[in-house]
Amino acid sequence: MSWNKTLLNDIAKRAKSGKTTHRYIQSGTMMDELVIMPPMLSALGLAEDVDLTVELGLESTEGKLSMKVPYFLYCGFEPANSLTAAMLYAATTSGTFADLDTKDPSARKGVVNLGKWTPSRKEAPSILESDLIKLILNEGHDPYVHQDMDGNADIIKHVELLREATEYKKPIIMEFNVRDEMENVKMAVECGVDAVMVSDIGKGGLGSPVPGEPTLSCMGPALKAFEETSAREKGVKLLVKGDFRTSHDIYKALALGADAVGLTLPALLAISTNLSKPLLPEECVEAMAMKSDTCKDLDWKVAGKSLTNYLDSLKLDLKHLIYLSGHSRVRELSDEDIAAITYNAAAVTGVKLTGYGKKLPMWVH
Amino acid sequence: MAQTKVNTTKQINMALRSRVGKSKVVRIGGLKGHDSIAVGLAADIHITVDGDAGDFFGALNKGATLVLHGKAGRYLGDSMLSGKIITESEVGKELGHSMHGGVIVVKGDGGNKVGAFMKGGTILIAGNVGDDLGMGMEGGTIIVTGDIGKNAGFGMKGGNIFVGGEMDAVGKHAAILESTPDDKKVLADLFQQYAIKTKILVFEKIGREGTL
Repeated sequence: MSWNKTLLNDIAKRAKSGKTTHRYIQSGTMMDELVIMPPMLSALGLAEDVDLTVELGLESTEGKLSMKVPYFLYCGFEPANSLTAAMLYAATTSGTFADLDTKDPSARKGVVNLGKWTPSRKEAPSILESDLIKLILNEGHDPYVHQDMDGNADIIKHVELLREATEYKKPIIMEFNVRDEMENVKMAVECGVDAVMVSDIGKGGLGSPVPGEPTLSCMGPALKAFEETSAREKGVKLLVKGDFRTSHDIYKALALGADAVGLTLPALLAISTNLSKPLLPEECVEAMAMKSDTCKDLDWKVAGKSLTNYLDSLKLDLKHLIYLSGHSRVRELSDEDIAAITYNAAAVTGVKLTGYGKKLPMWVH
Repeated sequence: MAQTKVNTTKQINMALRSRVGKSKVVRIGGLKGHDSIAVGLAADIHITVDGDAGDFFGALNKGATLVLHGKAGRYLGDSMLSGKIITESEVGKELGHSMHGGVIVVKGDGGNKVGAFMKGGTILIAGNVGDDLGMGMEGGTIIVTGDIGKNAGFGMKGGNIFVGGEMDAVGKHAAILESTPDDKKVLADLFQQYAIKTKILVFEKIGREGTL
């Protein structure tokens, strides 16, 4: 990493305060190394008619959650209260959900409510009142070391418990933040969850203390695990949180095989347009965390409407892009709709390399 | 009382839920180690269970009273919010894990990590327990009439533990505190309410170090 203004500002802040700073460390998405290959062959109908809905829930799950858009919001740190309210409002208005760390139960009322269940922090009240549940494993720990789980058999039992306690009426998402995506995703599918969430947080995404692997690199192993476990046939969905910046990034991730993607930094930046001075990407984590005063006077409704506008614009973009690709539904996207313009991106993702015209040999078998 | 023959965990729980609002008292017989029985019940209902329960018996309970005449596996009353669970026999490890409220009474021995990460409520054990009692607990009360293993109260942030039997050194961040007359009254009331017979007059009180 070369010296830049962000690093210099960081040193100046540390020299002044003697405290550590939490800043956004860009790990590099590699998304720019993929390109969209629209055949410019429009599907029948209109771009507005493109169906973006994603349904979370296996056949056996009685209460399915229909997301109107193939994206959701998340925050890799505990955000300020006004930020939480704005994100929950915008997510619900847009027909999706927000995956946030909030201890305030009132923030969950009237919104699409995601209850979290972690080995160390079981939000029992919110589990019973939630619309969907996220079972988070190995928060910073070894994947098979849990405070109350002794291996895969116990994880299966936890899923069964959540199913029984909620009468099979709520989709269950399982999330991992560790490195071995392949094995983790396989295990999640075998546990019978409705969706698997992978992210680059443990690999250097927003909120991570170190820059690490690009977002794309966590998708390849997850997709391979999906293939080996026939997860698609079972109805399991793949949710990917990462450093997605634009509707083009979202499209590429969906074409690669994600069913929905998690957005964070664009959402924070959209909200920050309501502050007296809009934030830069590297300022978001520190300024918008619970302990910061920056968002103290932020009107959550106004901020929520800005964010809703931003999400609406993404929706229109996506509909148009999918329409131009000759599809009428988001789930018709495939890796045929994108190509890699670098060898590295082709090697990491398994999509065809432009010029070479096909997938790299390592992905063929 | 109508009798229904069911086999799987899902069937048993569905049968239980079908009685909510219709019966105040329900009896289940012949349980054979099924996991996740009577979980997440948000109802004022009294359920008596004959047989052995598997893991997560009464987890996420929200108001029901569950009486188990048999052994229970691990995580009994996990994340329970309110209501009561009373067992007449021994229970596996980590009972009352992350419990938020309500009462668990065990008339037998408990395993390791009883009341780990407990936030509130009461656990009363008329027997012995293993190591790591009340590990990381943030609130609530645990009472053990028998002996406890090592490391009790490790990392506790709040709540109290009362021990009537032998005990090893407490864990990091925990300390032996002086019992108050109020503590003694609370214990005596609980013993009377749940018919726990004990001749022990002095209980050691464990709390977070630095608290009174």
